[in-house]
Amino acid sequence: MMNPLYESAPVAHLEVDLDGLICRVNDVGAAAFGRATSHLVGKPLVSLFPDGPTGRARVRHLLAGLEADAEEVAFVHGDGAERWVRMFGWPVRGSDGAPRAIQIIFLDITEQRRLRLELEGSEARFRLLGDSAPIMLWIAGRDARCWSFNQRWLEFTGRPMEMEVGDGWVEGVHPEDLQHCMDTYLTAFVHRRDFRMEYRLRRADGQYRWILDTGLPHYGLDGQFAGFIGSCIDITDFKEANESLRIMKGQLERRVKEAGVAIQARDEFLSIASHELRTPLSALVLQLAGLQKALHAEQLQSLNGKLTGKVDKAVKATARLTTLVDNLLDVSRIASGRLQLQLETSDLADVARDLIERVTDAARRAGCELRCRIEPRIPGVWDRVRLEQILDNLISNAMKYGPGHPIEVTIAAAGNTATISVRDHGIGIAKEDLERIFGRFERASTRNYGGLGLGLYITRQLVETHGGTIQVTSEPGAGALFVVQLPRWPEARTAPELPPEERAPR
Amino acid sequence: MKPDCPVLVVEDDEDHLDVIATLLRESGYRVILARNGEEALQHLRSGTCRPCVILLDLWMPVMSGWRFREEQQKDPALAEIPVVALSGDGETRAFDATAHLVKPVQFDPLVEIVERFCGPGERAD
Repeated sequence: MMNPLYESAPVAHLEVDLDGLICRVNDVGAAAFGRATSHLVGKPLVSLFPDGPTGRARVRHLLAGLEADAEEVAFVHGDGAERWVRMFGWPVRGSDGAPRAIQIIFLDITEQRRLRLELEGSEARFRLLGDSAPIMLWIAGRDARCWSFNQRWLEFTGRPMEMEVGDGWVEGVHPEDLQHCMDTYLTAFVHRRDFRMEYRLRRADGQYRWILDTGLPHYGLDGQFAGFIGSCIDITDFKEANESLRIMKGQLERRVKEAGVAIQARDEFLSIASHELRTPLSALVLQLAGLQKALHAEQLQSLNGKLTGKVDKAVKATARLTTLVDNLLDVSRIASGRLQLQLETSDLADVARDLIERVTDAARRAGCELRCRIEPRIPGVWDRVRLEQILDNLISNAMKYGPGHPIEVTIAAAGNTATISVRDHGIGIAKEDLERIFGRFERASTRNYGGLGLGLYITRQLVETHGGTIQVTSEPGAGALFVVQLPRWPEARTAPELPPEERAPR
Repeated sequence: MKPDCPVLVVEDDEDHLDVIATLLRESGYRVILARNGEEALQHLRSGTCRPCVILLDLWMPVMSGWRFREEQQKDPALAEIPVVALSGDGETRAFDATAHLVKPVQFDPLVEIVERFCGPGERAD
């Protein structure tokens, strides 16, 4: 007689006689097999299980053993699907103590088993993935103790898994980094928050390497916190490269700053020097003028003609010195961005004719015939002094590099553009030097032609400050052609209507 | 006839001051000298003689040309005296002077400008 307790218990239960035939089965048990009670009673228990080591063989083993066991056994449910049960059996003894039957309770563990297998599979996959990953990985349980490291980690530290698990890995952390490392790690565990930290870890060869360790909390299939998974990369090379980059950047910045200070100091020096040179130069110029005047007075001139010539030469030398000082000041002004134009409406043709008149003597001395074609009137808004300087520089340059040859000066206007061309027939400029000659302290020839090599540099700056362009074409031995193009009216005034100067004759 | 009013030259550089004074005297002008703006103001305010023109350097110790010009323009008794700036710096084209002489000063423009304000100098006998 089946115990009524079992009958009504929410546990699958059945009883088998010594021949292995099912004597009783409760409703839960019948339901577990997916069959009617009537269908089960009187049947051999083994018939419910498929033949094979995980089926019938295990049931036989259970029955033969006549003892409590917990075998996992496969069977075929009434609905045709394979299920798994775990069975616990124990004998029912008669009054004589001899076994009379076997009581069995069983649990359907199909779902549990599936989950377990899945987990085992995913662990195997994880291990495979972990061991083939190019980074070092670790897994820690809820207690913050690491229970697994991947192959890469073990290769790095050169220690076996047994030494690394638990807190063993901590032995490899650099003593100076240990406190920070443990603080970060344990705090992250307490708050179950991901972390990133850097510390030095001893490599198999004994060298400490910088490691970037990133840890993430992970959760089991049941959604419960299960510990942390971490990945580590060796960032030593990166850190070193970064450090040397930082040092280099610092050095570079310092050098740029030093260079800037040096440049500023030089420009200030140029400015002060050119300014300071002017006063004694002015005194010299005036003294010479006084001397010249005295010598040109009739009585002295007749006494000493030679002296007059010497003084004239000294006057010429001071004129050259004056030009140099002017150039230095212009360069310092350009360098410090203090070059300012005094714009006014002026006639380029006028300026040019005045200048040509002033340089005619010098041109004659240089053996240069000045062939000028200048339009009668070219009004525009310019800095008159700077226009003169541009023309003077170009013509002086032509005389300097082409003595004994004619110089053609052409000045014309078309629309809003005035064009100045100065052609010489001198030594010319090599192709590779064409751009260089507009630089500071550059000149067309290494041969000493005197001067500081500032003329064309200043000229270009003056032209560009006027919004114009300067170009040069030349070949060695064939002279050079400089072409300056200047806008005549400022942008805002390039209205279709011409300015009054253009319409009404003066 | 020698002009009644002198030329006031304000310049801290002795050599420059000396040569300007000499040349102007040789050209027949009376010249008063000052080494800086303050000295110049003292001369002007002592009231002995009102100059026909002031030749004014800009970069000077004690009182610069800029400050002198300010003081001068504030004083109605002095404001009308023409001032010719002596400077090496092109920026001083913006300096508010009656006229400018750019250093190095050339002889002819120096004499011309003084003549413009003071009349022709009296030839030395």
